[in-house]
Amino acid sequence: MNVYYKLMLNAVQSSTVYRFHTFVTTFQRLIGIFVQISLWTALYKGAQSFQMEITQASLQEMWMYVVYSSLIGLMVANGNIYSLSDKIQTGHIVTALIRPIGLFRSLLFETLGSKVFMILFEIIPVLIVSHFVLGLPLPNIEAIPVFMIMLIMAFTTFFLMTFIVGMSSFWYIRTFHLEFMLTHVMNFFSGLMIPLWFFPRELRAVMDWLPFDLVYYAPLSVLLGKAKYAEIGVMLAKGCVWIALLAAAAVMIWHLGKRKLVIQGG
Amino acid sequence: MPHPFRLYGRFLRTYMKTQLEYRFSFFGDIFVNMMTFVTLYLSFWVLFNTFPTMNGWNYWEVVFLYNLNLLTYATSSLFFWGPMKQLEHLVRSGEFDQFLVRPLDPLKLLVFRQFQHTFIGHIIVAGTVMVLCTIQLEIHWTTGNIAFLLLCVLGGTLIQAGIIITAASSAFWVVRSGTVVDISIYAIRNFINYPISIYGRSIQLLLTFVIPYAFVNYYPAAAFFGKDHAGSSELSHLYSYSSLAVGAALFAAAVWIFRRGVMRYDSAGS
Repeated sequence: MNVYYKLMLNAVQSSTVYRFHTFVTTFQRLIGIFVQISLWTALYKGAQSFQMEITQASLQEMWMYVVYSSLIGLMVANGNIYSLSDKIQTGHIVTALIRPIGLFRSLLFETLGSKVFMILFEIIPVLIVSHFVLGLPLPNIEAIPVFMIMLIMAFTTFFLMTFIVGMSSFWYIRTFHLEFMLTHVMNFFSGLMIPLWFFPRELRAVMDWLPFDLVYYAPLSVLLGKAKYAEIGVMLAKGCVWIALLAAAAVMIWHLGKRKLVIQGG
Repeated sequence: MPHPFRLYGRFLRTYMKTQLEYRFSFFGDIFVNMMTFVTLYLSFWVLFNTFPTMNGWNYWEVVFLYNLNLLTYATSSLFFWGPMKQLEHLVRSGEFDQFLVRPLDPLKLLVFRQFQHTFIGHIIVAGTVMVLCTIQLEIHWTTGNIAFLLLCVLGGTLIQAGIIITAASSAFWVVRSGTVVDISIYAIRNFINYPISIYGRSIQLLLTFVIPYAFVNYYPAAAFFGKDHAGSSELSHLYSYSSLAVGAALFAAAVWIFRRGVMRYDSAGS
C-alpha cells in the first residue's frame, strides 16, 4: 500500500479519538456563525431604517456567506505551524529527515486524512443547521465545479503560507508572533469576516496584489454566484501565480533551513 | 510572613527579570499583540463605510464598547490568564500538590507565580483607542462620568477575572477543564464584541444572569452614551450602575468555588 495513503488513514483514525474535541469546536463554530448572522441582520435593518439600499448583496446572501465562510475555514485549516515549529524546536525534525518520504508530502496527507473525518462530523452538522434551522437555500449546483477548483486553490495557498511560517522556526523561536500576524491579516484581507465587495476601492486595489483573498473570498464569491466569468479567470490566474511563488519560496526556505539546522546528539 | 502585595512585588520582579533577559522577544510579544487589533478596527471601519448604524450605535461608540471589553479582559488576564490556563495540567498531573505544602493560600500562590506580560500590548491599545473614542465623540468630562467609567472598568475586570477563575476551577471536577475555559473566555465572550441588543431576548438574558458579560461593556457603555437599553424597563437602568457590585459578587463566588475545588482535590498519586 502506498505509504502516503497509509499516513492519511492514520490521521483519520487519530481524529476519531478526539470526539469530544470535535463536539466542542462545532459548538464554538455555531456560536461564531450565530454572532455574525445577528450582526449582519442588525446592520441591514439599520440601513433599511435609513432608507438605504445595499446593492452588493442581500441579507440572505450574507447569511450564506457567514455559514460557508465558516465551512471553508474548516476545509483549509491545517496544523502545519504547530507541527513544524514543534518538530524543529525539539529536534524531532531529524526523524523526518531520515525517513525515505518527504516532509511536505507527509504533512499534506496527514492534513487530507483529517479532512475525511471532518467532512462527516463537522461540516455536515453545520450544513444541516444552516439548511433546516436557518432555512438557507443550498448552493447552486452549477457553481460547484468551479467552486471545487477555487477550494483546492484556497487550500494549497493557505497550506503553503502556513508551511513557510512553520519553517521560520529554523531562525525565529517565537513562531507564534508570525502565526498571530498571519491569522489576523487573514481575518481581514481574506474576506473571512467581511466580503470584499464592501471594501472601499483603494483598499481593494491593495488586496488585488495580495494572495489572501484567494483563501476565502475567491471560493465564496463563486459559490454565491457573485463572481462573473472575467473575474473568475483573473482569480484563477492570480491563484496559479501565487501558488508558484509560494511553492518556490517554500522550497528555498526548506533548503536554507536544513543547512541552518544543528541537532544535539542524544 | 510578608504582606501578600509585597510578596507579589517580589514574584513580579523575578518574572520580569527572567523575561527581560530576552528583550527582543519580550517587546516582540507586546508589539505583535498590539498589531493584531489594527485589523480589527479596520474591519469595524469597513462595515461602517457601507452601513450607517449598528442598532443605533455609530463607529466610535462600537469601538469604545469593544475596547471596554478588551481593556478589562487584558487587565484581568495580566494576573489570571497564565495560572488559570495551567490549572488543568497542574491538577491532572498532580503537580498541584506543591501548592498545598507552601505557607501561602494556593490560589494566591498560583496567581503570584505566573504573570502574563503579553497583555500589556492589549492594555496600551485599548487605553489609547478609548481615549481617542472619547475625543471623537466629544464627551464632556465631569467628575461624575470619570468616576463612573473607572468604577465600570474595575467592575468589568472583576467580572472577567471571576469568569476565568470559575471556568478554570472546573479542573477539580472534570478532566477537560481547558475547554471550559476556552469556551467561556473566547467563544462566549465573542457575543459582547457588538452591542448585545442585536441578539434575541434569550441571549441577552444569558449574558446578564448566567455569564454576566453584559455588565462588562454593554450596560455601562449604554448608560455612558445615554442609549436606550435592549429591554428598556425601569429595572434595566439599574444594570448600568451594577457592574462593580456584580463584579465583586462574582469574584467572591469564584474564589469560593476555587476553594471548594481545592478541598475536593486528591492528587494523581505517584
